[in-house]
Amino acid sequence: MQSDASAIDVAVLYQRHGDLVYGRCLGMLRNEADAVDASQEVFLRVHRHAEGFRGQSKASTWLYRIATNVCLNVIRSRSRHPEDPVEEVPDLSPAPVGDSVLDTLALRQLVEQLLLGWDERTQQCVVYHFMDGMTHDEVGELLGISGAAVRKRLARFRIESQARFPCWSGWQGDLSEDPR
Amino acid sequence: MSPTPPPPHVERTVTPPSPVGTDRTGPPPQQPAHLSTLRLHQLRTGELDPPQARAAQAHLDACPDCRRRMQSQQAFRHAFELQPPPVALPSPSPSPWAALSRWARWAPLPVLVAALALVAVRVVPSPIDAGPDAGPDAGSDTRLKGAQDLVVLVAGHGVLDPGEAIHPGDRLQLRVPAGAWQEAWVGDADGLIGHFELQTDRPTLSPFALTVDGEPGDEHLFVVLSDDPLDEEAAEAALAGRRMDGVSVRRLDLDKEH
Repeated sequence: MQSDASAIDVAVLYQRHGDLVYGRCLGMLRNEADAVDASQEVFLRVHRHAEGFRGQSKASTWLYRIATNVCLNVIRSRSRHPEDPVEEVPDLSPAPVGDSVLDTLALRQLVEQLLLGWDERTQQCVVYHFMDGMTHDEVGELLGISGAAVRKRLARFRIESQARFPCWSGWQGDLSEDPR
Repeated sequence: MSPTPPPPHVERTVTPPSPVGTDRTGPPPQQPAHLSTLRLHQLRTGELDPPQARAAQAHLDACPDCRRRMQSQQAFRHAFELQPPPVALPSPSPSPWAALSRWARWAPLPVLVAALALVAVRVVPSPIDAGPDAGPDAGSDTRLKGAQDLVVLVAGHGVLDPGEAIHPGDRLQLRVPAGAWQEAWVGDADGLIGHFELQTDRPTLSPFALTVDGEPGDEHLFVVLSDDPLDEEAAEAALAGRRMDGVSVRRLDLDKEH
């Protein structure tokens, strides 16, 4: 019986951060089955790319980023297949990592709508900032770009979003500076 | 046996979107209005650098909302741990538990099972006698349902207390207390099932789950605990009754109700 190093790493990562990944997927996808599938995909990717983790930043950061990207892929896929309804389970969505404001169902639904049509990097910025409450600098660190670059992307996002979704007018001015 | 516990309740506010931290009456810029979900997780898992941890902890001490969110994370973590990942033992089909456990869906994925469970699930015939006097140190080390040191957890139920029975379809995990042991091997009457490394500074939960089958009769698990890394051959020898320095074999007798 043997277990290679990558397998050990994945197991350790799962033990330590599996709840973070699953909570993230549940929060973004709002569907338990999709969240399970997405979590599975995250750890499969980790398994395939375990070597890439060593020596990098915090393991949880790495996993969180992968989970976010996987979930964004799912959301984009959903948008391409609107004929496949998603059975939402609001009571199960991101309760695990419970944010009373950040993770409101309304916010998530709106963000999901807004994400459609934006480039991946902007989508990531939006999710990390508005759903996760990260500062511009934190988002920048996570994505490997500057906080200023994050701020610019979010500002552009805000302007266009307000034009399409007037209910976001309450955001006016909020993004011109790091709210944190 | 109770069904899967609901996730921790979290107050929900369905209000117009309002990014956290945008309250202009709140703290000045660069002072986090709230800790992000990831930051809370990193604080809880000890991943932050000392300065970061101090800052986050200071915020947490002063912010009731973040403390509540931290508690919610901890509760979710606890519930998550009771939903074990891959299956290592055959389960009757259809399993009533399968409909409840989200992780049951992971079971068909061999690569993930191998990766997460740390073990290649393999049943090795061994001379273990499942009778009441079987196993080395059967007298002094026999434990019922993990009393005292080893703990059996049932998915969706929690700790299996003395006198409680397991049922077909139940998914079990072992929790080994912190101590001098470095490695645990788990076996049943048919041989070794899997092994995992142990944390010496905190309890270790087995990274695999055992699903109770529908065979008649009680279940008997054996746990080989070793002070040093133990290979498969040595673990089998320990299960067969060979005494070895630094190796202890515990037996768990689990009543099974059908």
